[in-house]
Amino acid sequence: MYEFLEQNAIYVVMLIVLMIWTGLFIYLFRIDRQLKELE
Amino acid sequence: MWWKILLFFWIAVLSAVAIVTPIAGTLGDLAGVAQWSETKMIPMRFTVTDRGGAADDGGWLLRGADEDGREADFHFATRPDGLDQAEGYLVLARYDTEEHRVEVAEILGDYPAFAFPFIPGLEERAKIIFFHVPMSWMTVVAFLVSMWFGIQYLRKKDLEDDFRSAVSAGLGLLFCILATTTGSLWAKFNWGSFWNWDPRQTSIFVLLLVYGAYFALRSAIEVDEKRASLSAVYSIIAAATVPFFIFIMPRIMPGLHPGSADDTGSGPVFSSGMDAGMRVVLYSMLLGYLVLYAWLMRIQMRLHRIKLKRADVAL
Amino acid sequence: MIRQAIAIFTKDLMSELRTRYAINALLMFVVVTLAVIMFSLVGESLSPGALTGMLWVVMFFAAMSGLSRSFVAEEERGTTMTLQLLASPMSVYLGKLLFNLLLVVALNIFIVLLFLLVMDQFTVAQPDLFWTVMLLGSVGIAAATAIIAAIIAKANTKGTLFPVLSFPVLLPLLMAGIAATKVAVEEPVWDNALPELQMLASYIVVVVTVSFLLFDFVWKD
Repeated sequence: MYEFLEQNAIYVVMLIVLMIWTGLFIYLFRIDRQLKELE
Repeated sequence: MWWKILLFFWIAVLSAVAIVTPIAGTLGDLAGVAQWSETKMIPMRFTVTDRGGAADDGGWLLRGADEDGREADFHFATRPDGLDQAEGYLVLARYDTEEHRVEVAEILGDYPAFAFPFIPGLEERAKIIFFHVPMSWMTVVAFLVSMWFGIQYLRKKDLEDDFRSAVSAGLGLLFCILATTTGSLWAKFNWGSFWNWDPRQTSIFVLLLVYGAYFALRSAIEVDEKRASLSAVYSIIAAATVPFFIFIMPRIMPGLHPGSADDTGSGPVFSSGMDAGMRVVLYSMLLGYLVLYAWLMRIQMRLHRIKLKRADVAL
Repeated sequence: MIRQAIAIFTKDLMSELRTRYAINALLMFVVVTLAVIMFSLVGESLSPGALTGMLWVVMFFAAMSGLSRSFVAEEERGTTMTLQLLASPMSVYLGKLLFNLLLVVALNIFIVLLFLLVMDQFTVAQPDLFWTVMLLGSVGIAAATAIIAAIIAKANTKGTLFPVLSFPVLLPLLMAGIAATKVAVEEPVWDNALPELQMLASYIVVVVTVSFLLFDFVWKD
């Protein structure tokens, strides 16, 4: 796994993009839960 | 409604462009790589100037020019495909210092009109700049906005300003965590370890601590007005010391990020290897995340107003 | 204002000398920490550079354990209101700052002397630079902790919150201080520590100015 990522650096970048989107998604999810409580 | 869809496409398309766009070097890059490695191949692009002919060893020898206009001989193992129509190629190649010609290992595609420059030591990993740098800038922006609304609260004593300040700090914390994790994952592959205590890593770590302390302080005070003014004061004090990290420390201490004290060939934040295309993509990405931040702020504010209304009705 | 500040300063000093609450606790803290460090270092040989870090750790945590007293004590004794009525916020801040300053300087001199006494491996190449850094560092610690003590005095969990809030604010000071001390300990050239000294000085100016501007908001409810 580590060696594969070391050889194919573009996947490291993709992993980073994935991390950012996951983070933003979790934030949205939390807003959604707050809304649900209000409803 | 329309701008939200536009925003989605803006960020999605820019991300795709950033990932898909090939990295392409020049003859100068090839020569630079050849100085420290004889076998290392890098992607490069060139236009064919003379279609050449068969070489002595059964391969194919043609002449081409790179984007800087420098010419060289290109040696292929066999006659390249589509040579009669091809205007140029993107190839994986190295410079042979004995034969004084470019040794092509593989044709990656046609000459790409848009490509990012080859940066020694970073290569494909240079693309992190489009994702990681906006995150760290947004961290600072969110922090400044939070401080700004803190000041507004102290001036006008409007609790809504305090809530804006807190929401902005929350978003800043999110961006800060993202910047730290993405950065340290990248550092593992580029610098060999997840954390190196480079000045910029230190400063993002301090911002993380400041955000943590800010929320710890907020949760420790019950009275709304007191919480608002004290957290505003704390964020201003913290903001007064943050410039020491972001602007002064990295200049004094040697570091790994571009713009450190021992890095001579670059500007304040970027590596010298960035060209106009990279800058445009980076700034557009930054704009996208800025709008996303404003949108998330607005959603939280609407949520807050509904909550206040509910509380009023309940009373 | 100055006279009020001095009055508050002497009041704090007198009450401290009468009860010796902070002094006793701090002295014990310093002795215990140094003893722990010495236990763990028996037979080890450490470079002066590494010991510099330990010296600053002791200084930081000693400051963290005692410096919030000045404001927290007012809150606990219920004398905040009286002080708000009798004195202007500026003079309260100045008085408390002076008291904190005296406490930190005395404390750090004690720590450094003890450290020099018990750590044989800790030698200083430039004593004048070393003491300058110690003085600037102490002033910086006093300035930053005064306003944060005022903030946490109003919060619920005072004890734990103090180091949490102080650390990010103090970190530039700590880093510059440690770097400058390392120069003083290891290198014989004064000029090598110049950027750090400038940073320490500007840190103090920035923090004191900001605290003066903001103290009003913390002090008045």
